[in-house]
Amino acid sequence: MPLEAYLAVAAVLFVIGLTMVASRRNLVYVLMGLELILNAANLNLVAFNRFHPESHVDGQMTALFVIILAAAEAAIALAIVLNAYSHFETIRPDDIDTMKD
Amino acid sequence: MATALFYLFGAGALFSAANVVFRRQAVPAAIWLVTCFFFLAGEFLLLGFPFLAAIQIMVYVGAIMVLFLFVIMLLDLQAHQPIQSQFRHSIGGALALVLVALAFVAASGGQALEAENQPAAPEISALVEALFTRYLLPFEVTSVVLVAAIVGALTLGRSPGGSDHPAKS
Repeated sequence: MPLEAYLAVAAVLFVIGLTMVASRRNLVYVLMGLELILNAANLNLVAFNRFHPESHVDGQMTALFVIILAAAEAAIALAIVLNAYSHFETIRPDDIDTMKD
Repeated sequence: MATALFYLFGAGALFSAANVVFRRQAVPAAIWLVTCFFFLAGEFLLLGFPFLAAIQIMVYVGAIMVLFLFVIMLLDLQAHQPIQSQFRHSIGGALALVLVALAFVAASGGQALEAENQPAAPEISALVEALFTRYLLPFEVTSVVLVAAIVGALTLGRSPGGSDHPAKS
């Protein structure tokens, strides 16, 4: 398959993830959208790595680090979501507005 | 073969991702996200990165999504609408599982998958060598990040009073 095919899949995944983040139904959905966005980026990195052999293992390595950081991010963010729920009794982002004016 | 698998994995990933968006309940959405990650691991396999595919399944499906499911169940988002397990859902899940397993077996089965116009993917030994030479500093920094994440999650998970009892939620 040509590179463009992989990029197209990644682009659609990215848009779906962005939709989830932007729709802001609840905080867990937003985080799931973030994971989708990171995965789309990973697919791009890996595809470019594959089709440009002079990049050696750079894309794969970057994707590996992205996965590690996604794990750390998910742990922290979900702990924050739990705290927000016990504090505000809701996880709708629109209802958590203490920091707004 | 490779083309058919690409379309299978790609369509599966996009279909699962669309389902994540359109599910009202959180648990089915998370399960669809797991399916999406499985299909993406298939794409990595197809591109010739079996190590990354394994890491994707282990870390994303095995760690991150389990964490998501735990939090969703702790939050009790659907207190009023219990999750109904329907028979047709289990049929669909079993079918998807068999399909993905078959595709993985087929994808790992031979070199016929390698397209002619694609250069060979780097070996795992090359990856490891780069990890411990050129990427040594990021690799070590990663451990610091992970420790910081663990400490942060533990701190956030404790109750504000500082007692040893976990936060009520």
